[in-house]
Amino acid sequence: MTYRSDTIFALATPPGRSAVQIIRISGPGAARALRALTGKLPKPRQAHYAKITSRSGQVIDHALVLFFASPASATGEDTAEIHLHGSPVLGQIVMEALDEMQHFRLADPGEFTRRAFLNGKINLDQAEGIADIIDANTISQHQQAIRQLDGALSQKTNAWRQAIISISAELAALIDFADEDLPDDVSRQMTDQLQALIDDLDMAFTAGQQGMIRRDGVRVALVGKPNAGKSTLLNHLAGDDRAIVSPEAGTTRDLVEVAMDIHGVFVTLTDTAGLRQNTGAVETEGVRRALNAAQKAELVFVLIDAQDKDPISVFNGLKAEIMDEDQNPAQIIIPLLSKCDAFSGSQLLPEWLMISVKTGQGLTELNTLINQSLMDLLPDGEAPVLTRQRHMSHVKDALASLQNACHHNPQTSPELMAEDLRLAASSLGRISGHVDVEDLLDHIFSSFCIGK
Amino acid sequence: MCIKIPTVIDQMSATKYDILVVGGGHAGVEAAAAAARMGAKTALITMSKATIGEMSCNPAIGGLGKGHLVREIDAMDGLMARAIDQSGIQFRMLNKSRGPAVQGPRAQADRKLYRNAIQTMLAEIDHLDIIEAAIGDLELTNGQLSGLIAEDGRVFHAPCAVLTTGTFLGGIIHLGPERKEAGRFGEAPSNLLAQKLRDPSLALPMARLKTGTPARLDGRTIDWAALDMQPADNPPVPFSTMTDQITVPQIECGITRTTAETHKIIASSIHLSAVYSGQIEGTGPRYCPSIEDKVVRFADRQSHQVFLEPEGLDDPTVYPNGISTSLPRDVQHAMIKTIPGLEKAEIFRYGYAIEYDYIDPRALTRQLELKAIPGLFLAGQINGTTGYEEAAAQGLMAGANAALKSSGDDQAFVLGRADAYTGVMIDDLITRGAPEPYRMFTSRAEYRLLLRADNADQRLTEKAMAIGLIGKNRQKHWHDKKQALKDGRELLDHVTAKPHQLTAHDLPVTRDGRRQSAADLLARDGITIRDLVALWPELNAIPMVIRPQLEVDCRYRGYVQRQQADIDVLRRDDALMIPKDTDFADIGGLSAESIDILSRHRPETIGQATRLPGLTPAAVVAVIRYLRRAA
Repeated sequence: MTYRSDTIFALATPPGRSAVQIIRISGPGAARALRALTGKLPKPRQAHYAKITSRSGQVIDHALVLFFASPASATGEDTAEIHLHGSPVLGQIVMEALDEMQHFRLADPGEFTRRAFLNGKINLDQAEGIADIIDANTISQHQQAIRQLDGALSQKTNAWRQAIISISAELAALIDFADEDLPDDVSRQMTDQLQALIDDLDMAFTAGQQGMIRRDGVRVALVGKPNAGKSTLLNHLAGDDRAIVSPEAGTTRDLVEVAMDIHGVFVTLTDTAGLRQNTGAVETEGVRRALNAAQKAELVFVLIDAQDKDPISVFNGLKAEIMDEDQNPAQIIIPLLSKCDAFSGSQLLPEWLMISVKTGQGLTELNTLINQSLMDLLPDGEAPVLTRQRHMSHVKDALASLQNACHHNPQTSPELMAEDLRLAASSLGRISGHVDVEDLLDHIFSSFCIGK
Repeated sequence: MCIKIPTVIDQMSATKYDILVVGGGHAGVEAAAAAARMGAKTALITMSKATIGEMSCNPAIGGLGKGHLVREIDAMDGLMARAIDQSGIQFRMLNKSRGPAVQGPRAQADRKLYRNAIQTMLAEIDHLDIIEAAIGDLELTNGQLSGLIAEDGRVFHAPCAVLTTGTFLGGIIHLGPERKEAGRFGEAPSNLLAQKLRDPSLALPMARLKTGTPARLDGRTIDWAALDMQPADNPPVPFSTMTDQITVPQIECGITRTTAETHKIIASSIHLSAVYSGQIEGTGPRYCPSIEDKVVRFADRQSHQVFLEPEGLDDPTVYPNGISTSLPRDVQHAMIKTIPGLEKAEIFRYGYAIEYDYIDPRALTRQLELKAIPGLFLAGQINGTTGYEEAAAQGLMAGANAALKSSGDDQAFVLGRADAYTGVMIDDLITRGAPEPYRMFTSRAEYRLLLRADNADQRLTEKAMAIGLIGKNRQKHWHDKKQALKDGRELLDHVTAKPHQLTAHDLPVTRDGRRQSAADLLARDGITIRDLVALWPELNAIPMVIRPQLEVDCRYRGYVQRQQADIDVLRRDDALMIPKDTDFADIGGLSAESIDILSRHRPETIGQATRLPGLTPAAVVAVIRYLRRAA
């Protein structure tokens, strides 16, 4: 039995009761399935109204059916869509009918997309783009995913590959035509081109880090000593936005996360355990997690009770524990003086925002501050083309190889320089799926959901 | 020395051999010698015994990439390296100032000495007959090769033959408006055989290629005193590991340049060049352009280099390297006179372009056997390559595989891309074809740091030995060297020193202050074993002859280790065979385009499929999945 003879089908909409549900079919049997279920084959690419009947001739549902003939379809194979009314039982009946047909089977996770990839309808990063569109939580994420589907990433990586090819070609000339009279400035030009390429990759890498933040959401952490007013602030911010997606309430000693959409930016707001030493085992673990969350967060608010005797040293102490220039270079850490309703002294640190959830003091300013910080983290301008950890790590490898290449003298060690360039080209090639794809495929496609 | 020529041959009687080799050029010579070394009863059939081992074009062997091939031929006990060692009159290591992986040995030859060396070596080989005949037809039995038929009617029977027709297959020489059927200047072409191979019933993918050669000058009329001279290396480094030292006297070459006047003459006569008048249909090599090509394509260049290379110690002929041409005689004459030093130069023979038939090498298996005609192997220019070294390496591989086949052994002698330049070349040819004459470059090899001229024997001799390709002399020599290298490597890894010891001997230390071995230190630029003997006197025990190779191994070790994972994948893919009868249309998930590419090229392994132009990685994955499911 060959791969080709299988026709796959799956529910393309979330399971459960709904107005409409869609069953997708792909493979050589797609037309046969429509004929069997509706008694006729609709014209390709046109929506047709049809009665779905069981094998005994009983009408099951009135449905909308579509047929796409190979290769002009999403998967490149014959495909069909059946739009049924959204009853789970109905879907079940039709799926069972399909399952009984010869060489029909339920699709594996991501198999529609996989077939599209295998049939050359999309390339690897476009496939990933589809996954991102489906998983997109906000408009901003969605735009990024669409860009990737448009092949922005392939264009960029291909341009880089071309640059490497051009530099390598000049090196090859130096090596393989040593006894010919080449222009004297070949190696000089090569070094300049190489530096330009490194700068370009470096910029894309930085933009990519922003892209990753956009895709995964900005992590905002609230930290401070116990009773600094972190939970109160979290409840205020989350409630105000009415955008609680999945509050995971643990104990007060654990992390509390709230997912929010702030002006189109996906934000995960984390309340942490109060930071103090010499506590019990559970709380010590809580403190460790709090620090860990703060270290990973792109935006950290350090809450300090306005009545604290020495807010500056409290802030500096916490900041030193949280900051990690290497792992999280873009991190922004901002102090907030909280509970200022109970504070009657004079404002000693005018540049620090004073807030009170109770009285509402400083909350408008806080909103502005949050928006400004998000804009700093995700500046507009050229949208990133590197949006996945996999892309970032290949670009990082390529950058390392290119930097190694820079260390060699093209006149005396052209072969080592060429080797580093070759490694860089091969790292970049992995993004668009040009080399050893097989190892990636299973991983990528298994992260897809059925029916995509 | 005994060259056996059948004296009385009855047209009806046939002569039986294991292997027939057609052509006495560099491919044919290596093919015949390889087959005979493996014990096959072999006949080398040539139109002229006297021109066996002839250097038709430039009198030089080696160069970048090509020098690597010569060392590989030597590692498999071929003749080319030993022949040039006995005839080289100017040895030079190219890229000497660069890394050892891209250094290429080159030597100019005394053409007569080279020919003699080849003919003498052939005469000493057992199981080898040399026969003068012009082959005009194939004898096929049930679609398989069963013999060859000479133009005079003689029939030679053998289950395997190697065709190495060079530029003779349908060869046409162009010299300005003159057009003459010829294999080389003054030699008849193989027109009958060309006709036979073009026969539509064979359906062989045939096309035309072209190449060119410059005029030959009388060295006695060149003003050498006015020229820059280029000396040979001293001492000359031999090609063959079997050669202790070069005893042929070494000479200098002259260097001159074309002038504005030269370019003016060429530009005004360009329409008379056979290449530009549309008289030639074949594709020429981009990297070996004629002087008219250079002038047209690089119009901004004021001047082009010309090397004046003597063709022999007692031969006044000089080969002006860099000005190959197919311009008419009078234009060649006028053009040459404008070049400094050549103002009074007399021309012995005019330059010309030659076009010839070749067979798209994608029609071949990894053994260089035609898929359509089992038993018929091809090597050299007939496969679309250019160059003596490329031809010789293919000849050796084709001869060895033909010998394996005729002995009934169904194993293939195949070198991969991670084994040898020879492997890179054959893989390129059979997967990508030769849209222009194929020449070896070091850049073609992905694993250039591993595939070096200095370690060819360590890479290949053992593999060749396994199929009986290596004579006794070399076997002993190789075993001794292998042991010495192994001992040397172990010693270099074994001896280590702490930072303070290194500092005491002016040796570099690492930032983390760890112990370093001699091998670690040799990985650094500019450090040799000699710099280390003060610290580790035991290193004095390493024989001088193997030191350079050990040093190079250490220098590249880090890179080579990083490549190992790639190489493992490559070997795994190359080992995954695609059955001959696979119906690619039957594989699911393949686009029509992929099915078309696969069906046309019929790759033998997954490795080959991954390298087919236009085939997507996704298609390869689909084929792998299909094979796994079928298994």
